[in-house]
Amino acid sequence: MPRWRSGTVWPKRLLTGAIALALVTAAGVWLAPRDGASIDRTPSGAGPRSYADALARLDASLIGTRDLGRARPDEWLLDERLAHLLLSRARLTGRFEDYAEAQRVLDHAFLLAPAGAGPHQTQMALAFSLHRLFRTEAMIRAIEAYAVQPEYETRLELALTRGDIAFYRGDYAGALRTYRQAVADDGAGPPLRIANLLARTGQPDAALEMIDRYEAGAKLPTAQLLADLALRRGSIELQRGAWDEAGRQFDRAERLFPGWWLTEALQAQMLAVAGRYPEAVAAFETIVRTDACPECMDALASIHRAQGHRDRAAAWSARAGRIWDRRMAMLPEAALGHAAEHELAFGDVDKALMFARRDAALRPYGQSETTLAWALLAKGDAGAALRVIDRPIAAGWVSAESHLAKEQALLLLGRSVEAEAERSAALAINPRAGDATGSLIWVGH
Amino acid sequence: MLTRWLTALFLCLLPVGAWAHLTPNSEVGLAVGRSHIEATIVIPLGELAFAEPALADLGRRPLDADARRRIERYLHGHIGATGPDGRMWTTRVADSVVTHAAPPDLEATVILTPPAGASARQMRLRFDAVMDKVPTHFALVYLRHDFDGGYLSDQRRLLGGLRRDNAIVAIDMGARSAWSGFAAAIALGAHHIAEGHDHLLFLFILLLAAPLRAEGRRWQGYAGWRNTLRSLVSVVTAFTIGHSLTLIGGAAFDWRLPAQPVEILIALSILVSAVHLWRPLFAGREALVAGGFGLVHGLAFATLIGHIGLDRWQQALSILGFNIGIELVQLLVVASVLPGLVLLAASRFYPPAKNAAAAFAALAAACWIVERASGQDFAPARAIDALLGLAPYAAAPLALLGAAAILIRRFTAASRTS
Repeated sequence: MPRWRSGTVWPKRLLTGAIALALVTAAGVWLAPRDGASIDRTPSGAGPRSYADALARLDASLIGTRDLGRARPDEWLLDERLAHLLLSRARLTGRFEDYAEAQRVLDHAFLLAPAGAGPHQTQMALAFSLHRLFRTEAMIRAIEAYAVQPEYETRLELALTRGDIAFYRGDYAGALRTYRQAVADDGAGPPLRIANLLARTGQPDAALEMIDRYEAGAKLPTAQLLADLALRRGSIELQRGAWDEAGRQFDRAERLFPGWWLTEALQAQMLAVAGRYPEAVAAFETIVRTDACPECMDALASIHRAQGHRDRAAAWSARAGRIWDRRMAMLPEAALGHAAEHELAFGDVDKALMFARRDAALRPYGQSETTLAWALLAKGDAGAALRVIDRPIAAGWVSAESHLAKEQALLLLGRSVEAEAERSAALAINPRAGDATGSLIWVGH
Repeated sequence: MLTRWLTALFLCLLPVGAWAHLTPNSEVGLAVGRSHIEATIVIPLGELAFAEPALADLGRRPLDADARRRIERYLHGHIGATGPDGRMWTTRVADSVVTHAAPPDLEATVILTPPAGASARQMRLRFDAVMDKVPTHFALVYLRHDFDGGYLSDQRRLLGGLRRDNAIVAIDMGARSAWSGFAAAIALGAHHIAEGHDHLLFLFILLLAAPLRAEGRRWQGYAGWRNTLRSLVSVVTAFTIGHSLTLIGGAAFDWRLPAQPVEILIALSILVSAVHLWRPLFAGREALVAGGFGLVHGLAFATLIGHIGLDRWQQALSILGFNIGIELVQLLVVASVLPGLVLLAASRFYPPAKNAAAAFAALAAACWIVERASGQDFAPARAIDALLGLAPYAAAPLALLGAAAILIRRFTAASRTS
């Protein structure tokens, strides 16, 4: 019978231990989930360092520009400058009043401007922000008809805006083509626009890579820019259910550019989805004390509703509803999508359907069509919902929510086998898509 | 300057995507038995409170008799079934609890029983809880299991969706056959153990020690094919007896341990057997250890099969079929490993090979312990699982390696003789 003889034992033990340790370490390094941005730039000294600082600078510029405007009331260029600043502040604060004033100022500027000139570029940006795609296109055409061709940067921006319009009309392939054609000359690419498109068409990793590249190549990046990039990464992670990573990105944004209500709302939302309701409520309440953020109020209503606090939920949703009503009266195109979601969750299904239909008619892209499908489902019209939701899915829009809406429509039509496939598709995109905590997500989606 | 500023404005447009799944939905899971259907109903407590103020206090204190009565009254008004002939089924609320999840749910079990002589396999289910007051509310209806229909998967199968204007779904489970349930239980057992790498790794590591002869704290050589075979049979039999006992106890008599410690103990059993393979800890008593740890593995199996079958006969057939499935895969593993093991065990390559296997098993066990104790995904553990998924492909090379080892030994011996 064969016998084995072992030599000295300790070297073998040490070797085995070392191999085991090496294997664990290597596996940990290779397989560890993505932990924060691979690029982590430090803000340059340029630009404001916090939300309060940014707001103070904008407020000061606005005061100065208003004074100048009063001194020279016939100069449309001063009106355009004022509109810029109002639009900048609106983008930062989300205040519809600033958008509305910017539009009034631009209307005045157009009255002053001579034929063939005027604040077309600013109007283009404002119209796009307000979801007025036809007006945006009209401004592009007006600029292209200038007697003197605009400089390269402007022409590029016009072409890219055409890509944005294609995106919001549900033509994702056309949008990508337009972006790429627009930059074929210098090859620099519009990375954030392409990243946005990739994130919505099923390529989140490629989108994140583009954002990383953009951050790596940014010259003297401001704190606000870096925070914005972190929020973009966080939103992409949120949409694929990577909530821990999303939370890390939102925390990074807050460190880079503290005090921004949008970041704080996203952080509060992460507390809510983690089930830390009292902290989430406190954080949202802090935000709404200074910023009239109806999404935050809807989020508060959802948190209270999830806990069975009927009266508090009703109070917050009513408060949010009043703001959505005001916004609908002020700038309906810009408010339609959110107002439809508010009505779907807390209000009147008929109103929700009306808003969703109008929003999808103005911007027939994946998000508005998904909301329309939910509204049709709420009205009990599963057949119409299926027809609506099939469009963005066929066009290449990729979101778990679209597949969930389709799943629900199919189930209501008794097509459970096809519904299974849609549910699997939704969970493949976002494993948390079916979680009840999804109802607590109102911001940054 | 203006253009740069406009480009910068775009930065403030966050990527958007519709969530729009704005209110959490209810779920109705059906388990189809011979005499009745058991409906497990989950209603988000917040939505229930929103729809029914009288139930708004449910999550705030433990459910007392009064709360249960109110729940029962509410559910009676919102769930019902009729047969194809239009006769009403009886409805009984068997249980109700409030979960402590975030957000919390009301979970209730409702027994739906057809009138005498009617089949429990066809019905029209009506469920309109919450949705009668909240028009956007949706309820998902799915199949949990149907023994006689051969559906025992741990994946839910969608049956339908319900909304306020569409609150009735027709359920038709087709013809019944006890054998399809039994065959499905065998397939489930086979599938579970084939996917349950930890169970198989434990068994495999104990099998690797079977051909070895111990002297003191050292493995000293090959024990001969008779001893190897005897040891293999006793280890496999003891493991089978162990896990069968707790599987039957868990499935039929509801023996329960929390899942986390059971899973950690299973990983620990692999660690212990890996150390034993390296240096004998319980030489000659492997069968006893296999049987002892088999008890723990059986508890994990029971969590899967325990809820299947609504009557004793179905439960007995489920357990039997599940166990047969497990045994079939175990025998397949033994049959695949045996030739290679017997051929290789007598060779000088066996000690380093078994030490490498012990090191790998110890590493896998350590990773699983970390993962199961922390409750978080641990990347190395996932990688080990992926690697073990390829293990079936190793059986043939193992046998070839064994044959090569024998040939080398004979060739070497022949050279020495000549």
